[in-house]
Amino acid sequence: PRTAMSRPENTAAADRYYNPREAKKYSESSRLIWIQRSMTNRAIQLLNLPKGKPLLLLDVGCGSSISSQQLGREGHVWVGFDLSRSMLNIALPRSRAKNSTGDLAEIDMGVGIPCRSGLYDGCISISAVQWLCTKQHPSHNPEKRLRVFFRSLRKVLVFDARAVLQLYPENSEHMDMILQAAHGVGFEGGIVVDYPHNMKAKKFYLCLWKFPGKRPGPSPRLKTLSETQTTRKNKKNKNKSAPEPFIPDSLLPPPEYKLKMKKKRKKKLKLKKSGGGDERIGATRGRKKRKSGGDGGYIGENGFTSQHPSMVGRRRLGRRR
Amino acid sequence: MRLLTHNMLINPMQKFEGAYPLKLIPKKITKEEVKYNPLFVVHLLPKLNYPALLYAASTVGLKDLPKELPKKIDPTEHDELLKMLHHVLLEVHVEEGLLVCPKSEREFPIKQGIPNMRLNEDEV
Repeated sequence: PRTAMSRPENTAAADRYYNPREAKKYSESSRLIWIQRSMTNRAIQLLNLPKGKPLLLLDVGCGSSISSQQLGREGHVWVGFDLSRSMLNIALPRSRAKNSTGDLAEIDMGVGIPCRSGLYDGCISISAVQWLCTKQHPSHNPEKRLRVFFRSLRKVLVFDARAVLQLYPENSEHMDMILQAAHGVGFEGGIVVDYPHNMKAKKFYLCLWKFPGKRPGPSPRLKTLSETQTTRKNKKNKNKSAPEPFIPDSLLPPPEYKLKMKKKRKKKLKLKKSGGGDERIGATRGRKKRKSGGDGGYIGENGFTSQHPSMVGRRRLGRRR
Repeated sequence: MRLLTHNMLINPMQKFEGAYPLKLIPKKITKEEVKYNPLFVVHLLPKLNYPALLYAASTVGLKDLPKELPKKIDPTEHDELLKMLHHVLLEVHVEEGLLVCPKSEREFPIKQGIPNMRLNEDEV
């Protein structure tokens, strides 16, 4: 995981950072490979591809093709683009293995994807897009490069295709810059955050599609960055060391049921708390006692009264004794 | 680089976006078998630019493809045609060669089967 000290994109451009020695390290670390593979699987799941069909997919920043191989294993034909020749050289024998259906090209994604329009049935990217946020060359303008990349990506996708880009944003400014560029060129969608309460395990997936409207199949659980920040409820679980279990979307309850349960829970909480409109007295269970002042006070003809006109005369609310 | 990839590539320079297809000058070619999947070839056909594919196949020495694709492709009926397309698209690799933009004559080298589409600083 990228810590403050070890951000490759702040060191040099990807082709100079991933020189042959670094590229070799990257492709031999079984832990790195495991992380990349699990992120690829999650990205493929979020892609929500139609089942049973072999499709033409794009892998942006494919590197040593760890992620692309997974696309191939799912039965698709893939094209991988990367800036670093050293990484592509490692990907080469893998893309030429028997029955491999992948191809590679050396490109700079900040200049755009050099393909005709309306080709790819989907696009993934693992740990690559954050490279666009920093200047690796004095002539680089990160916002412009991001826009050019997203515009060209949107162009080369088929009309109902999705792009799922896993990335490591350095900070929220970079994340905002990326989102702004993506939405600015017409992409719909947002970020899915896995393990939001675990700083080390947290993973960001930018899920984008071309047009708004009803999409076939279940949508990924989209959360904005603010929703992932710890709320009072979440603070209880903040210090748990085990990461949250990863529940695939197919097993989650449907959204309408969730809303219903949410409403019910909210109502219960409200009844619990509201004992009075006045917090000074403290909540009394089940009883809507209204003292003078506080919320819900009603100023009627007779001067100040804390009771609503419909309640005048009633001895007390709440449970019958 | 497969001929399928060649069919998709354009000049990354925004000025010359309409310059398609890139001229293919192969210097070394290899052929490797890939498992034939008729569904994939049928799925791919609407995405292809067929005249560009014919051109690329002719530079590589494969001139057996028909001049026009039939309007409705049936996997059982056009099995031979699909197998030929599968071979041309997926099984031929250009290991060494050049891609040349038809408008600007800018050359993109292909080395070890990987085309280098990166632009110089002054071209961006």
